[in-house]
Amino acid sequence: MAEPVHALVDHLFRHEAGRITAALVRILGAKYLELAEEASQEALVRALQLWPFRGVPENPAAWLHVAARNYVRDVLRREQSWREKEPLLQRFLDARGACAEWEPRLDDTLAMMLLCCHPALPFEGRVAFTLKVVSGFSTREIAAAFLAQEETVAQRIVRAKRILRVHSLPVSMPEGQELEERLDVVCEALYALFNEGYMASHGESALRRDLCEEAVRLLGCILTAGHATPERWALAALFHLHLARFAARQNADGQLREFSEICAASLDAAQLRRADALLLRAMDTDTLSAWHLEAAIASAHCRPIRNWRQIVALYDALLHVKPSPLVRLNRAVAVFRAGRRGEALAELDALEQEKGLRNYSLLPATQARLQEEAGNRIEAKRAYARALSCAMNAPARTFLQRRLENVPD
Amino acid sequence: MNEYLLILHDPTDSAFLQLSPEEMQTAIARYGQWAEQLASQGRMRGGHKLEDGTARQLSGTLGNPTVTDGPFPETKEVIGGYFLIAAASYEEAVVLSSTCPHLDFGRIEIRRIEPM
Repeated sequence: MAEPVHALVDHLFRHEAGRITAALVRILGAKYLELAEEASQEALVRALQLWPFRGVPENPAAWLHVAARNYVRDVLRREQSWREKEPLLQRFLDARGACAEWEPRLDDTLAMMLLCCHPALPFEGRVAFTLKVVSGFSTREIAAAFLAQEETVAQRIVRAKRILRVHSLPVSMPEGQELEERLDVVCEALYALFNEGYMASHGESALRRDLCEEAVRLLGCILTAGHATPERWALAALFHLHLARFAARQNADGQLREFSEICAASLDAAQLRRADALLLRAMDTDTLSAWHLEAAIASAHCRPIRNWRQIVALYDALLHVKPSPLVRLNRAVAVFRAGRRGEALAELDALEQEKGLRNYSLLPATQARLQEEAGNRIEAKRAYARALSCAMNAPARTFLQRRLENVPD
Repeated sequence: MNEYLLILHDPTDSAFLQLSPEEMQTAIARYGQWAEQLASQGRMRGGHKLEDGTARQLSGTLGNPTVTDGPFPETKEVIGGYFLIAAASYEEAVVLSSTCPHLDFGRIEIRRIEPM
């Protein structure tokens, strides 16, 4: 006893769970994904059983990797369909101690991300699958952060694994144009992951921040592995600009703040500096991507006084690259704030026809708020009622309920 | 000051397996803090994890022992490990043990080492 206690780096287990799985899948192949995940979990459990007595080893990550490899070796040795598995087993048995092939590599995580976000997998499964396999989140944690049923999340992951098996998709790294396209698909998933953590005003607060930071970390893997492009730098800048506002969006009780209450002074200065540096790199291009424009809009929202006319201009440009009802909804708010109130309210009414926004509480909630500000109490009350009839989480419901009660008759 | 043996019983359907990586790391940190705190008070005397699944039972007579393998299917839990701590009394040993994070996963049995 009385061994020196080495403190564990934050989220080490979560991150190593993914790295171990990724390294084992590289060596064994994607069809052994389940075994790799099992080995990774087994290694962590062994650590949990031993370290309380022995203390944390000097290199905890290496310890975990060795424990996982030993587990795989034991399983392969036990489950003899020896002839069939012999070459594989032999490679494992031969590799005593350190061997370059066993060392975790940065590209492992990247290859695993490409596999988890394979275009053959359904979009909604990719994020959950990535979180589970690459990021070491449990199904329960993913469900809690997404406010989804654990069952639903588990099914998505099972379905993704089945597709991998059926198509026996390779873990190998594609090259050239194919790699770029596949990385774009991964970045789309990371964007969705970040938004899930950032936009959703539900779930345990710390978990949601973890989702955002995980998206940042995984994007960082792509950028540092030599796959940076101006668009991806812009996406990274966008993430950090949002993170700068993350804490400021909630008050001490975890209640959502009014948009206007978020002041520039309460922003996270370190995140802003990081975003600035990233934006500089993102500008090394002659084209503007949607992420550039979204980063520019996020940046405009971080200024002490918002220039709404500029924000509308940015939304106009964004709408051009990414025509979506959600962009139109956000643009309408900016148009309203820029003083063109009638135009904004008419645009919101027009958006009611959009299929994609049906049952989306933010449309009526926005209508309610802007009608209220425009002094149209009856329209405001109706819109609040419409918003409250949509599915939403408890804090958002409380927020809207309170607003509705405060509208004078 | 007396010595007390804390026998840590793990449930065989280990609660450990239900934890996420993040929760496991948190649990390790809590064990570490607990052990460190006892050590800083000069109360921690040692501890070991006992290997799972390799127990042997010896019975019979001297010179003619019967050896049987454990663990035993009829037991609902196994002894996962032990700590040896120093405490002035059983009461104090209980107080020191009651902050041990193992209580989230299994039972702790406290036995005084009979003084000389």
